[in-house]
Amino acid sequence: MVYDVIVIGGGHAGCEGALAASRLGCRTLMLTIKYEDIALMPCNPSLGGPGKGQLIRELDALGGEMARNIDQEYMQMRLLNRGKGPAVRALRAQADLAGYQRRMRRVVRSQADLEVAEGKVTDLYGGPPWIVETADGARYEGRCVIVATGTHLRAEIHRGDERFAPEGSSDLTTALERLGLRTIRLKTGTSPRVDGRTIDYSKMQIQPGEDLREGFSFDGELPRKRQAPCYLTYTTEATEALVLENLNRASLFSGAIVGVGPRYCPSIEIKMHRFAGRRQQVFIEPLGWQTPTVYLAGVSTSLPREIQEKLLATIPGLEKARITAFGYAIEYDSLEWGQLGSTLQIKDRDGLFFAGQINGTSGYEEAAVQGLIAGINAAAKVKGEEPLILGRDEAYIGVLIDDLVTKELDEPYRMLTARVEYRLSLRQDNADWRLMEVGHRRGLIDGERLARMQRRWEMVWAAKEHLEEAAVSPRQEVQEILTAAGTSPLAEPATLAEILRRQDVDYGLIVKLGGRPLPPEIAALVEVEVKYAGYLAKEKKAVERFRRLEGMMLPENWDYASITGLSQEAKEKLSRARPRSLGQAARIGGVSPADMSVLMVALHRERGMKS
Amino acid sequence: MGVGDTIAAVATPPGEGGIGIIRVSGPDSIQIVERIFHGKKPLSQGRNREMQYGLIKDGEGQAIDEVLAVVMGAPRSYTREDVVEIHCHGGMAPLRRILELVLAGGARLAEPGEFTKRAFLNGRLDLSQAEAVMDVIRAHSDRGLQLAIDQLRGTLGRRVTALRGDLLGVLAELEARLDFPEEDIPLADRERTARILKECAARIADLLAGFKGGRALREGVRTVIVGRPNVGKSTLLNTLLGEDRAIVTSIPGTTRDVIEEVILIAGVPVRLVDTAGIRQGLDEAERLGVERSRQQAARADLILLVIDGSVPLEEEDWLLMGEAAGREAIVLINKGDLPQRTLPEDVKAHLPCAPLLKVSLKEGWGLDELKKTIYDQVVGQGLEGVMVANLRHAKALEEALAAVKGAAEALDRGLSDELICVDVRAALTALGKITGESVDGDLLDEIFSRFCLGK
Ligand SMILES: Cc1cc2nc3c(=O)[nH]c(=O)nc-3n(C[C@H](O)[C@H](O)[C@H](O)COP(=O)(O)OP(=O)(O)OC[C@H]3O[C@@H](n4cnc5c(N)ncnc54)[C@H](O)[C@@H]3O)c2cc1C
Ligand SMILES: Nc1nc2c(ncn2[C@@H]2O[C@H](COP(=O)(O)OP(=O)(O)OP(=O)(O)O)[C@@H](O)[C@H]2O)c(=O)[nH]1
Ligand SMILES: [Mg+2]
Repeated sequence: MVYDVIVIGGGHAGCEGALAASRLGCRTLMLTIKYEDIALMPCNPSLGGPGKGQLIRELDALGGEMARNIDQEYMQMRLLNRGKGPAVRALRAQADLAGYQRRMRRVVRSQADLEVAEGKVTDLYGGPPWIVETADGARYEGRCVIVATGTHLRAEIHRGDERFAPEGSSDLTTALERLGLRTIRLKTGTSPRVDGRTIDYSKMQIQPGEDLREGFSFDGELPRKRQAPCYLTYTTEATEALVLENLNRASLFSGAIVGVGPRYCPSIEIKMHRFAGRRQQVFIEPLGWQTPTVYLAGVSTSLPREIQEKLLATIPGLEKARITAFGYAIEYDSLEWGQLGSTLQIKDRDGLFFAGQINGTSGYEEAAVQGLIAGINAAAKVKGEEPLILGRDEAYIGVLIDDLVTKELDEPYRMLTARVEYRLSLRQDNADWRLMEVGHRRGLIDGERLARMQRRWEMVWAAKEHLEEAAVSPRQEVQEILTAAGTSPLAEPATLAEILRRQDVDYGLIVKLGGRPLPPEIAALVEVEVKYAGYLAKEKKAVERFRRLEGMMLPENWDYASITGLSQEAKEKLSRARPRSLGQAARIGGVSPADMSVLMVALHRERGMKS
Repeated sequence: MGVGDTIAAVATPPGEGGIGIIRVSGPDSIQIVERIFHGKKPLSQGRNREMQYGLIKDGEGQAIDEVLAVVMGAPRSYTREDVVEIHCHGGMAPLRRILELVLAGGARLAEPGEFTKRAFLNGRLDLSQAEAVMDVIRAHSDRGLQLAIDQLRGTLGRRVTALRGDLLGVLAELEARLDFPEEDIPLADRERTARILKECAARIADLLAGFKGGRALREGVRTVIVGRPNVGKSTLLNTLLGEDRAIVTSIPGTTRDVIEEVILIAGVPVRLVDTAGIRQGLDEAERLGVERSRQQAARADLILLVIDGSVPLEEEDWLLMGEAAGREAIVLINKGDLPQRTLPEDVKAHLPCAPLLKVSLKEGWGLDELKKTIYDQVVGQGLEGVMVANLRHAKALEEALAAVKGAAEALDRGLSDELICVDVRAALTALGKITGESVDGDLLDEIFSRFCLGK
């Protein structure tokens, strides 16, 4: 039989892709090397944080699974950036890894229209339909294929002079090359795991979880749970001396590795080498309720085993720690820039989608959202619907994918809030308002969830309107309330919104002045919308400007080389990237304002000739 | 297609007679010019395509120039939009001032080749002419680019780069804390950040003051005459000026102090600065004079290096040639009426890029050639472009200033970091319009080179 969608890979990208496609009614097959790989977190068992937290919220609003899964299976939950504004506040969770994987496996295996099978894909060809062959001789046919193989393509693990290939997929790389696809080498690394019972926690700082009401999912309240603490300790001078002494034994420095690693996730070797004389943080993160093993975040390393052991001995609390799995660096293939389109389909390869780390990103959340979008777009292709492309002005997801399409990566890509132009508007607290309707239209959000979202925001807008209209005068009792709250009295009548805009006033005080009492999560939203109204209005203007060029679509197979007046560099870059719109073209490095003018003229001629 | 706003630019820079044209195109063009044009009747009530005589006045009612203005109503104009042309004859300075007024009135400075682009997009030129339009855009922008690059080599470039560096540092600190809240980054010292921001604001304001009204155009292109004593520097000033302003004697070391005078060359003001002759081993007063000469030379837009051709080159000549290398400079070998002991080739070998002229100030030959060379050096190479670049830069600096002030104010009000980032980022984007750099890549570089982040 011919599947509508075949997903290769059962990681975070694969799971979301397979779930989205099958939930949209496509007959879907998900292939994974092993069942145990499903929703695996090969690095630290934590989700969220700045940038990534926003991604999970957006994924939830579009009907993905990750948010619900972590809300059920967390061991610890915290809200980061509490002291800063709401746009950059972010949830971060420690997962019970086994529980997380167990639940996700259950979800995918009980999903209607979704078949899950073990099998290592060794060949991929045709298209469409695409033929997928596995090592054990099975052969499948699919209208669409989503490649979500993570770091597995031609992977090579390095540790000191040890070098070995994990259960790899070099056959699949070869198949991709036969399809004419080009790859680059990237690298990442991971820290040792140790037996938590051999750690002396008394020498460390404890980091407990927080009792929060809202989790990642907009679906109801966060279940209350017993939480496990993390711990914090630091490297010492002895650590630095040891690492620097053995620097040439690390694969990364001995020249064994050519791939480029992420700067935001440096190995301990790089930290000591580049930032000498500084102690570094080491976080102890639990891996699960059922296992004594803990993860040491902050000491990602490719040093030989015996040095890793000595290294831990220099860190307070880890002197006697027994390593259960050594750290390593891993090099792998990822897709070269210029081949991926904004729908996550490979350009000119009808029905062949790529999602996750294979696209050059790093991180579970980054992988998951790509899987979701690839799943939605594969389904759209099968059903003959419009693809879903989110703009940079609509979602972090939009920024992420647009960056993958327009920017040539020189390191694994991680979501950062700093990459997002309209950060104040794209908040984690309003992801539902921004995207749930899209999820509903696509068919991944049911009417009930949508209605709940709408009720929530109707309350917010009504309250905001009320605050903007309700005025108070500088009566004595008003002045007393204000002074008692530590803010200055009124000089003239003011609206409640004006008062709320003050830095030192919160909604609680507004209620005392006659504002309507609201549930705390609604009050928080109102506060944001009112306090930042000025900045939000500015962003809205910028977004309008941004949209003008985004709306001017470029012909899909335009021959840029033949356009006179374009600079050589612009010709080359545009021919490779083949942007969708003038706006996207402008973001490609090497395309100048003059090139943009030329493009506009050429576009006009193109249209004129057609009509 | 982006068509819709009103654009303006110098269409023709002043030629020999000093007449230059400013062209304004777009829906608000008539209204914008009408507000500054004072003729017999309001501009909009004149006949289409009829030249109207009047004065351009600024907001304070100060007259800038006598002009002829002509309205070409849509669609019977080059761009098929309402177009107004202002013909003025006061030279570069008023031309620029008028353009500034038009921009202040709501027009936007046209992009390279934009009038032609509009003509095309509005159907004035047919599709077959698209190629030609694209060529025009390319050519204009290449020239603009070269000018921009030239300009950035100078002090402006250095100062903007330094500013950008400081603001990037501020932004990196704020952003790093937002994206890596669990890291050990020392807490932002708000007072220090506020101080840096205020300092940056002051520096931008300072730069901007230099731009206002176009220093070079109002004060004249700073042209400093340097040379050894007795080579004829003061004679040169007097000759170009047409009057005996500086004292001329045959005694070396006559000029002790700096003398400045403005002359017009084809409508472009040139500020001539005569200096004391450069030599070594002097008394205190003379040494001071020499020191001032050096300072003047350092500030010059253009250096006129005078060499006495009747004697062999001396050590000071070599020193001066060394200083002039890499700057805008013209070398004059004077006293061409006397037997020559210095060969032009010797000088050329040392200063290959600077134009070299032989003159005799005493007999008065070589002077027209000199004026033309000065004009070419400062004007011919595109003062129009320089002016436009200046205007763009000034606009960008104004934006940057407003944004930095906004950030400082937000900081004062105790707003949180991500809001301060908004304005700092806007300031960097504005400065990027001058240097042609974008914020994003540089920001991440800055963050990761400053802080050890990530687990
Ligand atoms: C060692 C290491 C360290 C990391 N460190 C960090 C970090 O510090 N910070 C961070 O944010 N992220 C880190 N990551 C990245 C993060 O783990 C990934 O980005 C994320 O898990 C990628 O998800 P994915 O779905 O794209 O791929 P994966 O989760 O890798 O899933 C790949 C799936 O594809 C399947 N598969 C592969 N080949 C085949 C085949 N031929 N046939 C069938 N199935 C196949 C596998 O069985 C698996 O199910 C690290 C990853 C690794 C491996
Ligand atoms: N023969 C000849 N003499 C000239 C010429 N130009 C200037 N002189 C004479 O050279 C002498 C010095 O002229 P100045 O103009 O005072 O020289 P200066 O460079 O200003 O000298 P200081 O001010 O002393 O540095 C005067 O006697 C001039 O008349 C020329 O072209 N030919
Ligand atoms: Mg003199």
